Amino acid sequence: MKAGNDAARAEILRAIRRALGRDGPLDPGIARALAARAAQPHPRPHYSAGLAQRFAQKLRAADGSVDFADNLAGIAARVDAYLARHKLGNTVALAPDRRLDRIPWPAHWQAERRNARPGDGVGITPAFAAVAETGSVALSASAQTPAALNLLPATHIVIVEEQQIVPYMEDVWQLLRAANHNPRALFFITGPSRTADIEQTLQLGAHGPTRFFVVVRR
Amino acid sequence: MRAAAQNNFPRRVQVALGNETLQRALGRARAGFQDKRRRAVGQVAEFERMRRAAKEIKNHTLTHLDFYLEKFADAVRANGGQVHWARTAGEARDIVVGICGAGGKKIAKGKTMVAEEIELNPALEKAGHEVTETDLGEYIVQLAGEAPSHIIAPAVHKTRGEVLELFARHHGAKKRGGDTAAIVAEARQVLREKFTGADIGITGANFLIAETGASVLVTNEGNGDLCSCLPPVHIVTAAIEKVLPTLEDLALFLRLLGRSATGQEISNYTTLYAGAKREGDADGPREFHLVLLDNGRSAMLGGEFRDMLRCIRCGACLNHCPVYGSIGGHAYDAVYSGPMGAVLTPLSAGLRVARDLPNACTLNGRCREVCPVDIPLPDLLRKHRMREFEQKLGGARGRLALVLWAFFALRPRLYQAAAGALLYLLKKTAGRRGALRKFPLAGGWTQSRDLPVPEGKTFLRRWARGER
Repeated sequence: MKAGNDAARAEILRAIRRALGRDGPLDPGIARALAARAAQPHPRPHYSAGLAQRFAQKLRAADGSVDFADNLAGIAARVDAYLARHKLGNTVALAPDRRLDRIPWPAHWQAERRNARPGDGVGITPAFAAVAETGSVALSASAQTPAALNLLPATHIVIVEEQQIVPYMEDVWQLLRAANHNPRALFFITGPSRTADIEQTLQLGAHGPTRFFVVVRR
Repeated sequence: MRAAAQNNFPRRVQVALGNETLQRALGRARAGFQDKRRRAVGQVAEFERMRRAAKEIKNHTLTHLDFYLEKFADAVRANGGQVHWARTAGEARDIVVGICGAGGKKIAKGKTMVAEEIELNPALEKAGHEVTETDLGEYIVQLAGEAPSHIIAPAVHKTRGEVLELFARHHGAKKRGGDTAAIVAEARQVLREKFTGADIGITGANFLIAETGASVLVTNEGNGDLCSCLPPVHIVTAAIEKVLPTLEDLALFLRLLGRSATGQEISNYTTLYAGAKREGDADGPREFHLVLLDNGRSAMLGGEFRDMLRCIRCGACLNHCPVYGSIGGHAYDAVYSGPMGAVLTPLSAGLRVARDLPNACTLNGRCREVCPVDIPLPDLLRKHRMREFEQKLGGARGRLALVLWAFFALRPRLYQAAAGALLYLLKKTAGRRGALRKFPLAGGWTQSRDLPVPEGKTFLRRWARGER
């Protein structure tokens, strides 16, 4: 199997080079130049709104909910109010992350620091960053931030610090490079899951969360 | 084998045109897709510049494809993933079946056109595995025993009533409402168990990033992410032209993909997957496999169809094609339908068996206008037609018509005289109705419509008389 695959690799590369009119790999000088090819900025949609305002507007347009809080206690109050408003109970799975530990969650909650389980109603995770252009939150998979918490709970709640909101997705790449970070999974999530596979009719809550709520701490 | 059936294209078109349910579904889909794209594109002043940049990036990447593929493969390995190179569809199937191992595994699949291309599901089932498609549209066509009829909306040809019947038959007689919400809720419930119980997840990739080794998955349902994150083994099937050099390139392509496909600024779930679970990670697959498929693409790279390798499978050309909009995807009887399919299928199945597809085109040019990477689809289809003529694959009648037409076209005076005579004859025959019910040698065309007869004199006559 392994030897066979080396042969396949060699043959595919050979066929590509033949098609490109070369009989070997790129000239080392060109290869170095390509490797150094700066990550070029490309044309992208311009906008003038403030970052938090744009983020909230775009996320709401994608059927997500957004609220703002002034401090940690405010975050807890906003989330608690959201759960009450939508009658979502008070059983919550929290990402085992220090950023969430600092928040004074309501005493009447049954909050557990753990990964998601299939029947979970509510999961809360911290964000890696947020993108104002599209109203997306960026979430990385790690020991403290399990990927399944973004996907399994019926309601997904994300906590964002206002200074985490960046103008464009490209700014998230800069954050990753600055931290020399390449997570196993990096999600950009924009609103609740949806499908239009039945007669082109939009229906929220396909396989992922049915509700998506972001609290931004100013 | 699908290719063998290609010869029946005219018959399948007739069936599709006469299928009222299909016609209703197609009409609704066409209007929806076109409106959504128009609105989304209209909101971005930079769209044309983004489109030109995307075309340049793809051309640059294709010109250095070996370099970027090796770079990508090295990065995947550095991330703890395994890369498998597959020259052909059969080789790719064998690799995936080999990874899955002994039969009896539960496999949850996200939507992947490459898996359709290599006919993966029958091979996995033959090896004794249970395969479940988890994209709602794919799940519906799997239950129906059909193939997807659209690359991004696999069940676009199905009505809600048909889906209800399918669910009743396959999910047992549960009490259910008939609305879309109830259907989606039922599928969610059934497929939840498939995600959580799966031994293996298989997905495609919309893009591969050479810089970081990431496979990028774009969905709205979140099903692909569940397939990627919950099972202990994740297999990605992707073709070699999916590679992009950098994350900056990815950002540009995501902006174009969402707007072109569904009129969204970004799809709900856009995820970059870089290898297997890391030490300490709370979850993730313990094995990550990436199958890189050639299957004729390296050959396309060296030929006159290289532009087609820029395709990002957004479906915009299908959504704006009057032929696709009239006959739907199944009439093409191939993995890829619409304009991009009519270019690709003759390359994979051979022009001899797929010769009708490039002719099922009005050369109206809409597909190229909406293509986010400016693929000259009408030109590529015309190339197929030229090859078809050179290889004498067309019918004798069409060939004779072309030879006759060329004879007149090269003799302008004769052409004008003949055109004038023909016009006179047509008008005489049509009488006051101004249309013909039948026309010699065009019985197929006049079967479902009348041929309107041109009004007035020939164009050149009117021009000469000063009508401008």
